[in-house]
Amino acid sequence: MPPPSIPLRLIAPGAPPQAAPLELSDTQFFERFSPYVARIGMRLLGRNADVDDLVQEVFVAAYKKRDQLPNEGATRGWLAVVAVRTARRYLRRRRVRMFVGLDLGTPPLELIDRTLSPDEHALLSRVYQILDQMNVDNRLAWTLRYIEGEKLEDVALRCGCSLATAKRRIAAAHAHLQSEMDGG
Amino acid sequence: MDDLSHKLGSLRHKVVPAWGPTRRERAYLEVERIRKHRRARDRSLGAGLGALALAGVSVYLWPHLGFEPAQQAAEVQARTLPRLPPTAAPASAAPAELGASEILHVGRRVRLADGSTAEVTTADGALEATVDRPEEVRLRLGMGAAHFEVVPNLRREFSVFAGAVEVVVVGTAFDVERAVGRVRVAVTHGKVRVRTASGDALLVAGDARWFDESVRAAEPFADSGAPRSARRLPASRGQEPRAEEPAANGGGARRAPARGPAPEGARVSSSPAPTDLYGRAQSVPASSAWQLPRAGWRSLNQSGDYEAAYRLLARGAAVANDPDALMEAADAARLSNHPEAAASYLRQVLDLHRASPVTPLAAFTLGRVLLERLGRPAEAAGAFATARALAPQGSLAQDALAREVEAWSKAGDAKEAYERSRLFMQRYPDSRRLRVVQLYGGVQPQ
Repeated sequence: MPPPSIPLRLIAPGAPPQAAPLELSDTQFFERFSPYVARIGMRLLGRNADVDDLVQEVFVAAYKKRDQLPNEGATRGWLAVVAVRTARRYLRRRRVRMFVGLDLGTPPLELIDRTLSPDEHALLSRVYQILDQMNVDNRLAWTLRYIEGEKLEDVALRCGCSLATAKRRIAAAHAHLQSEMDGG
Repeated sequence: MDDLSHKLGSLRHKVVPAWGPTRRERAYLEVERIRKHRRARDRSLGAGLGALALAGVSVYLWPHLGFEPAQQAAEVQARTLPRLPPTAAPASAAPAELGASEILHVGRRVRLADGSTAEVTTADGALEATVDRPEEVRLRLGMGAAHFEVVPNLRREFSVFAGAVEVVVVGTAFDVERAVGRVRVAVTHGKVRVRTASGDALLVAGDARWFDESVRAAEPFADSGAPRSARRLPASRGQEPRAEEPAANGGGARRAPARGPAPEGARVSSSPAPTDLYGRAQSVPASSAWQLPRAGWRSLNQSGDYEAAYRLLARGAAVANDPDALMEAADAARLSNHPEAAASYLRQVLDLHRASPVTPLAAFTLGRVLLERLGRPAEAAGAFATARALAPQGSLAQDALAREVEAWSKAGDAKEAYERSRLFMQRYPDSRRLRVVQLYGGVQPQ
């Protein structure tokens, strides 16, 4: 029996955040939230090729917890936490592989935005190359703050640390980046 | 706000992946597969204890049950190779893979109605049966490559359509590979006759030839064909002109000339009724990627729907002979997981537009595709060397040399890897990649 079709739910501009419980089928749930998880995954990992695995892991976990997610806001927050945890694992593994020479670091970013100039592309690629050399927790906090644009409180929530720790990690990462960008 | 923060503020929203409908569907199917696997594993773990207890009872009762183990084994063996069913999804296959679209993908080997076998041999391969009867077998290779072992039978007709190329066999083993714009047929034993718009060719054991697909496919691919129930074929053979494609950017649509009466297996319809990877029936949203897209391939490419863009390219959408168009076509192929096609476009940039400023990037990208996706490190080393040679002072030169060391190392050529790593150390002594390059090059860090 073929799966049901996926209706698109239009949201009016300026509509208040979703407060009602989510009543979505499995495919609707995936259609609704996978772009968000894919975007976070790309921003955290810096590699297009790793995004699929991250999305799959996050959603395999998410389907077990769906009944406990009350609304859209809570769902996004929970998905982001799982995405960060998964990315942390991937990045730690990447660092080990880089240390033993099995990984040469993130190649120039594969970005689809055609309005990016070569300089802008080079800047972002350089940022991610420096991030690859960085402590993973610092990297994640910084990426959530400066690339994903999260508030500090949300960065702390996603990273599972205190607000003070999140601020410290972000500051350390930012200082390192600035130093490398200026000197490199 | 410092300068870096300011710059990133305006750029961060551009850090997004290509998460088009087809990639999304593929990810969803994989999630479903993992969930099913885990449910089955959990069930089997839970049933394990019960099975152990039951086994104990069965051993005691076995002599009284009257089973014939040898007969059972024979039945299982006869069912080992699944059939490629014309109407129902095979019970032995993961329904999510074949589903209603019944397309055979890599790693699956099937037995056809006449006893022959078929197997898709490349990751981008897609094979389906339009007729599967003991007296007539017609297969369609949408893309990629497949291997066939055909039992001899003079009374049976066996054909494989790959775009505009038809391979007719009597009894043989052969491979068909479909690349962009051309089809390769290689015969292991026996003979095959290959029919194209420009005439027929007979290939014997040991022959391997490329055939130009200049006449575009008369048979639409599965996801734009008529309803799946259209399995009975007209008696006559030939190909009908394909429905005109929407005009691609930089090129017009092409129409294949008519070759005869009603087509074999062709489901010509002015309103294609697609199926999708979810196995859904024909009614799908207009924005779905698995419908015949109305936009040209470049528009689709630029909007991130690489799968749909590549589908148009694979069906013959024109690619202008300029470096930007070829690079975009390579992007569509690469980002929709068709590395061979991507390599083909990138080589065209290198061969035809040597002086273009994008050619070093084409060479570098070709190297990456060869190394990371196609497992051809020696060729990759050559491509990276070309990238360096074309722009020795360019921004990619250091990366290209580092990747060249890696490629030579993975190709097993320690000498080349060592020499390139020495060159890298000489040119870029302060590079953060130095240690890794030394590891690949077999140079002891100082």
